[in-house]
Amino acid sequence: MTGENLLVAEGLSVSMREGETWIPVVYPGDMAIERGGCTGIIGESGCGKSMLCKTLLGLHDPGKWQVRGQVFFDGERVPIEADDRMDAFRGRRMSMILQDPLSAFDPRMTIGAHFLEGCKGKQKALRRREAVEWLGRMYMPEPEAVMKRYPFELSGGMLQRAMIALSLMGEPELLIADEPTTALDSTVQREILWLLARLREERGLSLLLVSHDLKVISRMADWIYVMYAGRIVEQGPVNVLLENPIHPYTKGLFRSRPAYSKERLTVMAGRPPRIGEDTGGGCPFAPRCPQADAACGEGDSKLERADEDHFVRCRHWKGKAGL
Amino acid sequence: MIRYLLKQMLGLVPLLFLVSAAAFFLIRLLPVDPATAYLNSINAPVTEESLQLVKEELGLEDPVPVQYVKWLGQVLQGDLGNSYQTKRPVTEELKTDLKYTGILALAALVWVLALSTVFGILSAERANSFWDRLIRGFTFVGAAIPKFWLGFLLVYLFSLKWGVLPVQGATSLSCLVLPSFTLACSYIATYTKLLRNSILEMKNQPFVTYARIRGFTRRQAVWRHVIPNALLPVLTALGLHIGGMLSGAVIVENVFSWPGLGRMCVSAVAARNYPMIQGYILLMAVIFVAANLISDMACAALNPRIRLGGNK
Repeated sequence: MTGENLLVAEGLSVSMREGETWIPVVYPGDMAIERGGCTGIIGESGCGKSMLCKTLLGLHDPGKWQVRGQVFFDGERVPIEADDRMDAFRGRRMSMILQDPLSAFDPRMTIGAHFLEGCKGKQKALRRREAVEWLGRMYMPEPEAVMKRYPFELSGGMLQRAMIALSLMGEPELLIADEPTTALDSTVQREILWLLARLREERGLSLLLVSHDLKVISRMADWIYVMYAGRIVEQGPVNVLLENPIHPYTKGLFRSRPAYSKERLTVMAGRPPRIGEDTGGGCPFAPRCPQADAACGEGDSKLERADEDHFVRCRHWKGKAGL
Repeated sequence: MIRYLLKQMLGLVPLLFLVSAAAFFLIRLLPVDPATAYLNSINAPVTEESLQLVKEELGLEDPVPVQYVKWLGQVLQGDLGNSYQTKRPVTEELKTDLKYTGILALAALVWVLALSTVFGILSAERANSFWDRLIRGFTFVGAAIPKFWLGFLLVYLFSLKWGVLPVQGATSLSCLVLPSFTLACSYIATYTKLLRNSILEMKNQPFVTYARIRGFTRRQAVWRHVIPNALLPVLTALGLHIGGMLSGAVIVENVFSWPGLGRMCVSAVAARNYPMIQGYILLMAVIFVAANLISDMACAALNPRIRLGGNK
């Protein structure tokens, strides 16, 4: 990685409690988010992407989830295991926007009330001005009027803008966007992505963009992590990965993206293993992998360096470069 | 909003007609006619002659439909007739009785609101703890226990055994404690359970997670977002149950000799006191509809989606 890292995760893993045992949801992995950069995580639903985001913000109920590993933010250790100490990080150092903007707002409160939440007395007028300013920065039409509206009175795109404004009010350095455009139609999607890119350029905001949509990730991110069944299976700079994907899963993912051609869209057969499903100790992708052989069933493969900053988790990576 | 109210009020008119007709004709199907019941109650001999006399006096000579039309004419002028038992106007009687039942129901409502919110919040916030289990045990027992039995049990413990509260009557505030709690008990259980489930469901809502993400503490998220939203369904249900509380007072009032509508109603039925029974049924119908209306409006006031729904 070229620039300075804003967030570094080391050996981060998440397990879910089931009775007396812990079922791994995210397997131990390292991760880095460049300051001012946009890091993308891509993978199918249920691969542990959202879980990872929640973990970075320490949003797990310790009775139900077990989190291992370390997270450093700007060189400082993040107490992801201690909910009460995380309040200083959440919203102030790092914030997040959610997939469905309508359900992210309290239905009883106006948009303005969300911005003013926790404000007392004289602070309110100041905060209200700031909020209108922030909504304006999000290219929100008539921000003053929007402040008085209830969530259900606004469109998905407007709500998503309001949510970005609300998340950025505390001036966080990192914004985690968990499927920020999935619930929106495609023209609005484009506007929101443009807005995020602009915030990154103008304010030096670092982004962690999570999506199952390769189009979104390849347009926005400069570094990609590909996740499968709770594991990082491939990582590297976006141009390297797009030009030279190595892992069969990444290749499959890239091939199943629609293009303007007459060729039939290839679909990856099968489905990812469910959380807690027994994969026989081998590579979890082996059952769907066109190149799998007997060796793939014996032990999970390790993340190996394929190129300078290109890593891949496949024992046969050497013979698989190129599409 | 005002249009909505007027519409509901208009809907009340045919409903009251139906209720009045049903009440009027159905109670006349009861065995033992009022004249006999009246003679029995004053220990007078039941003869052809005396029966005839009483019937004339009470206006029971005419055929039933004619009686109904006559009565309806009176009702429309605000006169519900006179009680056979006391000879006083039914409206007067109902007014005094309603006051007592109202006090009882109000006191029960205070119990319900106070205890079910505390129990519900405690139970949901400390889910699966000792307190939660204790409260859930109570909700199970509290909803199942029959009112008359609970009433006698409380009287036995608090009045006879420990002597801290009066057995019956309606002379002081302390008289109110046992009957109102007896009336409230099953409702407390129901609302505790409802609120607990509602809170646990709200906790998983994205807007609660999002509040945490913005840096609000767990406590702030619970008090600002979880509990206010969780209370909405509870308040809706409460509006629907206010009518039931007033009518459900029948058993409690009889156990504690509370001089309210329920006790009056039971004695009126025994005496075949037609005007009183009809008056009681009409009053209950109005109360039920009014309570539903109030609960609808309270929900609209608390829920912007309903309040503003009409404008969009």
